[in-house]
Amino acid sequence: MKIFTFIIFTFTIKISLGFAPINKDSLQNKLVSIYSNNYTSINSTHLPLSFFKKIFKGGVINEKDLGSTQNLNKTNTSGFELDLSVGFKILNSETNNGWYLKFQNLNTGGVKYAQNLFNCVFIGNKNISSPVKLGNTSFHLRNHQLFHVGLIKKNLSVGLSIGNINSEYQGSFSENSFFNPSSPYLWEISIQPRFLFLENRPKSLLKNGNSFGIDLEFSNCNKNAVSEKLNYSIGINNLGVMLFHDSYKRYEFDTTFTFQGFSFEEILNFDSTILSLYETIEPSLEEKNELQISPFHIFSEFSYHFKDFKLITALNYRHKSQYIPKIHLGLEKKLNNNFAIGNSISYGGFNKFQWGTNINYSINKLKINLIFNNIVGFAPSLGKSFGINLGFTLDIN
Amino acid sequence: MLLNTSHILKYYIILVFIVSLSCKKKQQTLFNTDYIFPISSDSTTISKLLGFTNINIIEGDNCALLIDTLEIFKLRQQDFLPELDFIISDTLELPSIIFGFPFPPGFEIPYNFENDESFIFEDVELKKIDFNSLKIKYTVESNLTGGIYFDLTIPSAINSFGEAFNDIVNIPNSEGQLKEYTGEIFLSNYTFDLSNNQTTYNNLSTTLRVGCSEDNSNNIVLSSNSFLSIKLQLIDLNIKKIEGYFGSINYADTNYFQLPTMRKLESENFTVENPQLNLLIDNGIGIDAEVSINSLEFIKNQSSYFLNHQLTSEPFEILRATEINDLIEYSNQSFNINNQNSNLNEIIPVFPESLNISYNILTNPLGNYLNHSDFFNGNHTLESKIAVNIPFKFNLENLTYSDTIKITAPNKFDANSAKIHLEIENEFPISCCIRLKLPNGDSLHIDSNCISSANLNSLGNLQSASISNLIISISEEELDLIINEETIVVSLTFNSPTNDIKYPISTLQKIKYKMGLELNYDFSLQ
Repeated sequence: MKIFTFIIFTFTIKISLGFAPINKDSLQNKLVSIYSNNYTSINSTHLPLSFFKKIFKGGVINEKDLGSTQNLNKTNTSGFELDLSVGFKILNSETNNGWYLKFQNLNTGGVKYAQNLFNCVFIGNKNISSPVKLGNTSFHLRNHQLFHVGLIKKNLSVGLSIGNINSEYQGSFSENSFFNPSSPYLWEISIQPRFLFLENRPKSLLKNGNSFGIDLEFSNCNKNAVSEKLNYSIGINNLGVMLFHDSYKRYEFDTTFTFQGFSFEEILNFDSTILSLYETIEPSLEEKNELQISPFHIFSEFSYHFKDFKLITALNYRHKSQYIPKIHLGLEKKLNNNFAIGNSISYGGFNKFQWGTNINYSINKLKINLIFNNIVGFAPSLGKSFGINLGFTLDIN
Repeated sequence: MLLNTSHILKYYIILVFIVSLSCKKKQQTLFNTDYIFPISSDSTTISKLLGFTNINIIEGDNCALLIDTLEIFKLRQQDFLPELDFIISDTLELPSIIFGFPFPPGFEIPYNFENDESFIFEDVELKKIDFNSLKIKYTVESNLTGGIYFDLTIPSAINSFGEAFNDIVNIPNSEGQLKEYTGEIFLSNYTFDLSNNQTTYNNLSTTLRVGCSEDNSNNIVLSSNSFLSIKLQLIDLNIKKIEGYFGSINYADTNYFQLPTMRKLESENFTVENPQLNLLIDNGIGIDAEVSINSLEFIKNQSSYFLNHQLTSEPFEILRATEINDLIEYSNQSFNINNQNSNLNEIIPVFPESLNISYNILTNPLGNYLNHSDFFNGNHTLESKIAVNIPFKFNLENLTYSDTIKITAPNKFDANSAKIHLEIENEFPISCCIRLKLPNGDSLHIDSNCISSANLNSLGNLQSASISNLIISISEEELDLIINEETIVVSLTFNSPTNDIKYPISTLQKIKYKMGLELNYDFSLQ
């Protein structure tokens, strides 16, 4: 399997370079750009940022940090994204043909849960008076390293995305799963969880899993001088499969029982009681390959220029990520030839409404783009998300 | 381009500054929770409740009966017979007539060296012993030049095929030096007739013949300096049966029994309906005996309470067992001890924590009047037991049970406070009030600390269970004290609903309980 991965990797690079339209003329008109896009965010539909701040930096989590805890049946999501990429693009300025190469380190984590499950963990079950439904509960935590390479043919970019899966943790419960911890004497538990844990092999170049996908983008932004009133970019990244081809742990069981505590005998022989409990939930270590659809990313952006303004609308979606499709609407004002600022509102992702701002700065051949996803996030006790996107493009010639 | 580089450098310095400001050392993340969860649920019967796990409690007419048997004594062979030490030592007197003659290899001296020994075992006169197994240990001293053999015969030792014991013992060449050789011969299922055809007792005769080893390369020549002795000893005696007269011995002993559960019980008033003890004596040995129970002493808190009963005032005879067609018929005696013929009703409410029984057994008090007809079969003996028969039909007033319970909690158990929730379904005709004391003497707060008696009819029989709810509150300081000292003192006070009748408890009646733990806990994430 490792040899197979290596062959595919080498072969795709060769193909990509082989298709690159490099000839004498085109070299004279080539436009080479180095670009990097780095995005990080932490988000929740119900938790103020002060909660996450205290989780990461320490402190006492108080009632205010837990957000509103009243609507027990509400489904919440929380998550983070750390998406770092760097690459370069070679484009013939006359034909708009070329190729690109990009390295991406993607870390995402998300969890979807009912409010009363959250209350159970962070407040306790003392005041829980109804069953906690787990049907909507799911989570993921992943770290993928992706290598993108592809061709640009006028408005169309086509490429391959090959990834090392450093780690992949997934979990979900069946629709009818629940537990009822409302009595001090009896808990009702009916759960059918499905957990998959693929852990990193930190000292090895060959990881426990790989992903193979295609990148497609239809855009008029590839052109050297973008001057249209309407710009668009629609695409999908890493649409393909994940292959877990080494040892990973899988917890799957279907159990319904009531727990009334331990009997006299079980308490007297507590060690063997715990051992037998552990044996019932011991994970199975999978040695066979498993194929899953990759966590692809769909994106689209339309921008309309009028006078010194630009009206932007965008859509983003991350698959297998507890991610709500995110709609974005923004207005940007060009202050001078180097500087533009904008404001936006968005809905979706790991949280709901966000009010963001962005600054674009360009000097000579360097373009810098800084976006704050949610201005309210600067007040951690009020904001429920905070994200920064820092991107730059440097045209070398 | 230089300008670009300086801009990038500035941004980089600002970025490093911002990152370094945000890289403070991480503190603990803490959040406060109130968890409540089930710990234990179970039901317990009267026997489990009292910790009588090895005692048989059966259903009687309308209540449970505690049936138990304590072994008072059991005579073993060594208790009534002295050590049977059969040792035969013989220095063979070689006839001088054979001195100087060369004896070739394989030649046997045509002479029987016979030995007839009568043993003395105090006043015991044995006529026959059946052995399951035994060993004959021999020790030979020789200074002969050349190997020899002994042909050993015990005519009175007969095996299951009716054959007398016979075996050959080879002795190596001593090369003129006095040397000692030892060995063992294993015998199984042999009967030794010690009566020499009903003429005597404790008698054992042996016959030896001596010969030259076939392996010798030279002739053996005996002289007046030649020495040859043999010592035979019966060891590892596994006796199936002994017959004869076993003598008369006075065996005295004291047995001590502990009743640990009782140590924790005390009562102002406790009356049981018709408790009974039965002293049973079963004699499976063919000897008469006179048994004296010197005292039955019950002990509680280092005070002694003696049972007053005819049994303890005078000795009694137990006749010998009889044997008919190899079947042993036991001789039995029993003595009933109850409230009417003893002071048992004064002893039971004491809840004695131990019992001392002092006794004597005089065997064959009339001597050998049946002319060596005693017998002992290894599978049967003389034993005595006390059978306890106590009905669970009683009335009690302020019966207290106190115990110090060891509690082991994790060292890093940083709960702010705890509450133990108890729901108790009581089918017993007893109410119970609970008191929990900390090692420093303070009591834990318990909301409604008493469990009601079951709902009963006019005869005290169960109609329905009562349900009581208790909440035991434990503060952080009290928790720390319990965790550090690892102990808590439990004091339970039991009462019957009224004091006019004795309330029955059946084996089916139970206490069911459910226990939940509520913790106010500060979780910390490192």
